[in-house]
Amino acid sequence: METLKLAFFCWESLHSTFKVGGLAPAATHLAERLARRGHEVHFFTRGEGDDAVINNVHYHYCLPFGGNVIEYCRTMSNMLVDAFRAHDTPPFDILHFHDWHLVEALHTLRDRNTVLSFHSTEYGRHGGNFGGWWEFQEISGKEWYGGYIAKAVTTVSNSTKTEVMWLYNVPGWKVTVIPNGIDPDAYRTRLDPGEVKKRYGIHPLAPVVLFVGRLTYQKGPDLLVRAIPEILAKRWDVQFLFAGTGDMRGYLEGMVHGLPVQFLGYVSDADHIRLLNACDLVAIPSRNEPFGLVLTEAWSAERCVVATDVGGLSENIDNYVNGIKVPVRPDSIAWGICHLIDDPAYMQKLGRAGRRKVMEKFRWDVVTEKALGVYRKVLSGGLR
Amino acid sequence: MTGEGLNPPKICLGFDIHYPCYLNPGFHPDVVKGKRNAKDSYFNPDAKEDLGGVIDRSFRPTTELLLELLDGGFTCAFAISGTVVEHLDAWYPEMLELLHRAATHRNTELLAQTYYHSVAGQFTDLTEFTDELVMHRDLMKEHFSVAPTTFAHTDYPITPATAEALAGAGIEAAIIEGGEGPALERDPNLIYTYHSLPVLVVHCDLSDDIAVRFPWRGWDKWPLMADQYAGWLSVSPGDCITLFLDYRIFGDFIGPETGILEFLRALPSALAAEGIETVRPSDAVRLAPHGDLEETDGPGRQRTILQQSAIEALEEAGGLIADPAVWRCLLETEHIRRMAMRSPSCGKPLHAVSHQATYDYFASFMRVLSHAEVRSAASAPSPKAALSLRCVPPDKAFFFSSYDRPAGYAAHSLQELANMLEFAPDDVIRYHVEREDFYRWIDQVIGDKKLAEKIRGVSDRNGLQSTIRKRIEKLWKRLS
Repeated sequence: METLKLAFFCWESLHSTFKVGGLAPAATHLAERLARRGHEVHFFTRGEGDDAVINNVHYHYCLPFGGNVIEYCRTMSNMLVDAFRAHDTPPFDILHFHDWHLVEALHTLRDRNTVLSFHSTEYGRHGGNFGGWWEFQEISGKEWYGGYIAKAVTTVSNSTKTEVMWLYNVPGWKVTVIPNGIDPDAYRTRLDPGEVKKRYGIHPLAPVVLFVGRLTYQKGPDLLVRAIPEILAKRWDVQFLFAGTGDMRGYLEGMVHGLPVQFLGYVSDADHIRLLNACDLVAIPSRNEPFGLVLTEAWSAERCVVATDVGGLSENIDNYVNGIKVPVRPDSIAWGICHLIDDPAYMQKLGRAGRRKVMEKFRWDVVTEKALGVYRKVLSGGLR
Repeated sequence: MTGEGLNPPKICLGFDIHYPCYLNPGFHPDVVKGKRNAKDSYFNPDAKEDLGGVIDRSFRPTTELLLELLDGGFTCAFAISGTVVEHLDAWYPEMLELLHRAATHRNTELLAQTYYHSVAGQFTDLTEFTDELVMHRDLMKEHFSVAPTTFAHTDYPITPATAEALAGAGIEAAIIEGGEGPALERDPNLIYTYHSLPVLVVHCDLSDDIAVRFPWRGWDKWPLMADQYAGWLSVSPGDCITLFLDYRIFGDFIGPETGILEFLRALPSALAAEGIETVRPSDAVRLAPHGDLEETDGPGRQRTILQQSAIEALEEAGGLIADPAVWRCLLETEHIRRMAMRSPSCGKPLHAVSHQATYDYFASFMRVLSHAEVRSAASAPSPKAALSLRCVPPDKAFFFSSYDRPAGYAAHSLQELANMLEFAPDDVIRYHVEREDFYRWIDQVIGDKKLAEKIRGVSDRNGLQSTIRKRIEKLWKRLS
């Protein structure tokens, strides 16, 4: 296959000043993997500083402004379209957009070979609820329009595919499921869990439940916090670590007074990996989860998971084989954690099964091949 | 690899014959005030009657049954602890006689063990482990005229250190735990070497079919019949299936009304019908080894905090308790096993209890251990030093806490306090320093006035730690 000239549009990347959530690693790694295969990849994103080539990917930065997120994204779209035009000779083969932020750029460039990836939906980001406020409707509208004009749409899981088809009437033939990839070996390190626990003031033999993610309603940290008393009623020495920050932090801190909980705030990648490998169990109490990168990260570190039975989590976890799925309720989450927490051998077994699944399905090689498949179809006359 | 249509695997069946030193849960320092010998109050006072019941329900009928089967060509192995031999010798010599016949039968193999069925293999210093190994061998020679060469290493995972100690003591092979440690996730039906020691891995699922699930009426395989079980074994791929079962499962933990003895009686013929041969462990390890077992990541076993405190206190107590018999009874693996909510069963009866139960057990254990140390202090070279080094039960322990939440651990001795200062969070240390908790605990609970005064003005972690560590070192010197 000849090499392609690819343009990525995404409002965050690992190599820019702005990093919000799981979108940055997903888009950045895909871009790098494609570049590694010899394709020419340009990444249009926000950031300070001059354009740069990092890991063979060409980054083009802009610094948008605006009084609200919609306006902000509009100026960003305009700036990035200008940057795109400056590099469009020879013309790009594929324009790959990530999420709604740059739909206005997608609109301007709608006659080209465009692909739009839904990493989540506005409905999903609010925990599966509709919002009445104007931003919600504006963003939902952009998501609908993007899905309408893009030549191909990808989603990170079947449940997001269904969500997009249901919310925005995107026809099924247009949507391909491409899971988020992962580099499993980056998340597995050999370390003494006891040493890591000590660093957080935890007894080296105390069982630790880890939550990783933004402290927002969608991710359900409050559900886990409300499950804690019930878990402690069964086993007294369990400790809870919450890595990540978000708008619910203050509220949650108020809830945990006297409980064995620590909020670590934002943690560095290195600490994140250490925590994953040191904890005993990873809890994923999301209300809505399009894919759930935390899941494949935990599995890569051979950790077992207790997750809510939603979205990508529901799809990818095989119950009692590589994790436990529970309804979105604090008592059910408590039940799942209690079921595992005093049986280290069982937890280890589930974690190892998870790692095997990652090797099979979520390695970047597998995922990159799927993305290229979509590009090829678009180039050969579109999906039908 | 053995697959379908090939020969069925061989079976290696071992029995663990042991009667633990049960704690006296009602022990309280007040009950032994003025008594010269406290040992009887530490441990179950009705041990003789209780053991008699176990013999009637389990040991005697099972041994008689096995003797018949052995005469018929059945093969098995026995691990007989020193503790049980002592008890039988003193109280029930006729049972020992019966056991003698089984243990010296031409179709059995006698296994090596630690004399006191002890946790000594988990200590950093393996002297006690090796000592017990030799004591047990001498006992086996004395009573059964056999020096066993295969070691039953089934109560906690094997470690490079214990493997080395075993090899050094002339042990040629070991039966090891399959549910945890280096053998976890490896096919248990193959022979391996671990640090060049040939090992057989206990098949936990098949062992637990008998030890745990047999009497359970809710099990979809209930009632389990010998021919059905033999059928499972015959289709289990591999070279050799190792089952290692607590002897008391037959008739005691699982009552005779469930048909467990009939199951055992029918097993040899059922195995023969499937073409399965029973072998002794030392014959089984002659099968081709299937590679090395590697170390698992991190610590081999996840102990609980309580188990860790108890094991550390036990190791220290070796130098503090005057009567080795008391100390060695406390080394019993059963004590440590009961300090976890769930312990891997693997041929032992299921252990799944509440956190409260584990805590209560830990509390009674520490009460006895602490009391034995206090008693022994009087005869120590320096009674004051011995008292300062002793451990205390949980009601006197130092509970780490910050102003708004407990840290989740407690120190039961100066040594443990020093260890925990290493990782106690800053706000926790600040909180206790402000309240002068370290000073008061060392002064009033441990009773080391000198150290208490020294530590009074110290507020930083390193200062506290080094002051205590130095003092501990000094105290131990006074005792030696």
